[in-house]
Amino acid sequence: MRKPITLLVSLLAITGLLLTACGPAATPTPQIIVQTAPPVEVTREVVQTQIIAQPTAEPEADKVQIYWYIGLGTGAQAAQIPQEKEFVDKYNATQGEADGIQLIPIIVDNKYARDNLIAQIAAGNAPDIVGPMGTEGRGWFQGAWLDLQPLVDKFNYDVSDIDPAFLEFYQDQGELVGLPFAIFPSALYYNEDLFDEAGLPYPPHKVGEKYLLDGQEVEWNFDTVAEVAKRLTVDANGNDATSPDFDRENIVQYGFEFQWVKDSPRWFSAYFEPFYPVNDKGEAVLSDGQIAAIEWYYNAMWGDQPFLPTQAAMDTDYLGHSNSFNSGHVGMALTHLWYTCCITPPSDATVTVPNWDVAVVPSYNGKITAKMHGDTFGIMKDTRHPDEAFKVYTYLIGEGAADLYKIYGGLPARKSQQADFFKTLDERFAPNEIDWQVFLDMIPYLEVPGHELVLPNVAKAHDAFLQLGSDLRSNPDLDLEARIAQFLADETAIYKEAEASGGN
Amino acid sequence: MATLSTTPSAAPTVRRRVSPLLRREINWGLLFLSPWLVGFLFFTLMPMAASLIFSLTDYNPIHPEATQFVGLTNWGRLFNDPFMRQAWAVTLRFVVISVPLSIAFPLGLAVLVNSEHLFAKNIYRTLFYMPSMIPVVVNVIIWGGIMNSETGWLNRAIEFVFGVQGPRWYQDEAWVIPALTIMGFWGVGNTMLTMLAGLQNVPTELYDAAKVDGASGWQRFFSITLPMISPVIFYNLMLCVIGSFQYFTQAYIIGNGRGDPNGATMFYNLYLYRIAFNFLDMGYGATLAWAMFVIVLILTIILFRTQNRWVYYAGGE
Repeated sequence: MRKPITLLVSLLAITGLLLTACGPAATPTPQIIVQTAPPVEVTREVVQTQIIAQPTAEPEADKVQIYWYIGLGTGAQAAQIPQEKEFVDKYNATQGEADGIQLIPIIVDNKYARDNLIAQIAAGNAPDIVGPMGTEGRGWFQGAWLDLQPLVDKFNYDVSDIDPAFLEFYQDQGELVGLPFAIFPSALYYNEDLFDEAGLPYPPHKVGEKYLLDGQEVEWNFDTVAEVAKRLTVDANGNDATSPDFDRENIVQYGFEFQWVKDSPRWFSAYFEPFYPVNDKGEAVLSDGQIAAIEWYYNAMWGDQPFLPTQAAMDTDYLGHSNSFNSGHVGMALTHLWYTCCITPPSDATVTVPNWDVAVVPSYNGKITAKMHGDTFGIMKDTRHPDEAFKVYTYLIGEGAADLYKIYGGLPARKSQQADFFKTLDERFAPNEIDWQVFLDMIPYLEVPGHELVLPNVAKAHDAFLQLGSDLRSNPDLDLEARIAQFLADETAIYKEAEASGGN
Repeated sequence: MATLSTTPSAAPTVRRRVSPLLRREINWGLLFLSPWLVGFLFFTLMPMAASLIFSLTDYNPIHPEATQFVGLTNWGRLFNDPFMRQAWAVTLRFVVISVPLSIAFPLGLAVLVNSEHLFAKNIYRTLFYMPSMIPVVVNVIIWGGIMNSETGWLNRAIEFVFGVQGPRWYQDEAWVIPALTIMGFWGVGNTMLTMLAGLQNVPTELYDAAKVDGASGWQRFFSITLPMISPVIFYNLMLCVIGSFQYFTQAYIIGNGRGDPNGATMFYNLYLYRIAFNFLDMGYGATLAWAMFVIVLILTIILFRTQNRWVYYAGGE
């Protein structure tokens, strides 16, 4: 009897050791090596720059350490990191030798930030402050945020300058989980040089203005955008997508891009028609406008006259590993104000798009929807130092906010700070002059309901959207109708799963 | 005197009588091993025990206070989870394609760099080994460029040589597993080295005798080389099988952590990771981890059992 038992124990030990030995190769390492990725909306694209994602500062004795987790929204771009560190150094310099606060940033690539934060919370090692982040980012950690109202009351923090509607916006299950920081309206970025080269007029800067196409004034809507984008899409032989000689296998310039807002169809379809994809029965539904958006997007990549980069195209160095507009090979990009973070300024020797501007968001069915992000910071419930965390928090959204707006490209939620913000951007992109008023004009067209409203069973539900998005970008042979039907069935099952477990 | 004897008749004596010298040696041995033993205890054994307990709960790391004991519910889910079956299918497909090639390819390379006819052998050995030193994440990114369906040189080469458009390696469900297998060839340096060591330990007298008997090169390879290095092959096979079942990092990067395209890279470990860390269902995640452990253990036992039939140990077992 002894031998088989010994053998079994030995095998268990050997297997355990082998699994352990083989472990490192199979263990995800998002905390060690990460890559910068686009901000705010969780995106899949990879930019080559590698950054360190762990806190780099050594905790100082006699000081309270406040860990600031960056990456759930914007903040992990290579260009932003040195500025964030400078910001932190500036803050820490204001603290006394003893009994002060030491702010330590933890910067994690957006692509991995959510998983990484979950792991940190699970390990009992949650950071104190998280942000900036959008509604979606906050929604993933519903219930994990500290109610700020008691701290606002305790420190008599002045919120009189804040629009009450914003304070309402940051309420979650009756708790104030954030104070307004920045908003990111949308606009259409366009490359002036590519328009000039194609002999096309620039897109309109005013709501209601017509576009002059082939000598005729036409409405600035998604059909017009498609037509213009086809003419801006060029193959290696110089033929545009409308030419019968166009070689779709050798495209060197694309006409249009949903810049970093296309991973989830829920994001880009909000430009067509805002819609909360859950009906009263708790089932998944898509509006006609959303389905039209998906079809438009799919045809833009796989139709007869493609004008939007596929997944494979996006993954290339040529298109900047997803930072397509900044590669100089994309004519138009519809996205948010935060994208200014990632356009190389003319003062930089590596500038690829020296002349660009912004135009209004195209309409769909006669209506403009300029989806908007509203970002803020949150304090985690698990913080060991809520008072100190709140002090840092109020610095981030108050005294230090002006510096952060420069880093994150966020329009201050407080109107009194907006002029300074645009002045900073003007200096950055000089001598190029950008019509920032377009962003302000787009604010009244924000989408209702918001495209980031938390879904039931949010992690799985969001994931199903991402799967659909991935399929759209990668599969030229998709039966779109069947795929959407499958998505709705899967999504409904996911919602029902949450219903059955009585949670989110 | 008899304490160091290993003859069967003396075995009981060995267990009862331990000389002071041997005891001292054992104590020193344990002392030197203790850091590893402590590490194993705290960082492997205890987490394993904890995960076994998690598998009986609905533990959610965001809301640990709401954890409840759910008995064998998670284990029952194993049998009704279609996504898990899909993850197994992907993993097994990869094992079937990848494992034989991961043995045959480095064996071929080892034979090549061991050949007496090859010029500058050391340079080739170094070159073949060098990719193993590249971190896996970098490896994936580099191959992402090589296999890019639009701009990668692999597809350009295919188009140039065969005049056809190459596959969409990472975007096509049918091609992504072969793509991962090809990518894995870059990491065969270690296997090649152990195979090479095995080849160099084969006594040359055997080849000489076979030549005298008129054996051809293939006959010598199949009748002498392969049996003589079968322990090395067995060792690598074990590692390969276990490594393939644990496949994660490459799939995580290529499939965006979601198994793209359309679940084709949803390996079992990736599925487990998603359940535990994306969907925060740590209880079921722990169950999946244990299921994997049990299956790999069974495979290990089966492999050990089969070695009597095909692995040749020159000095006996």
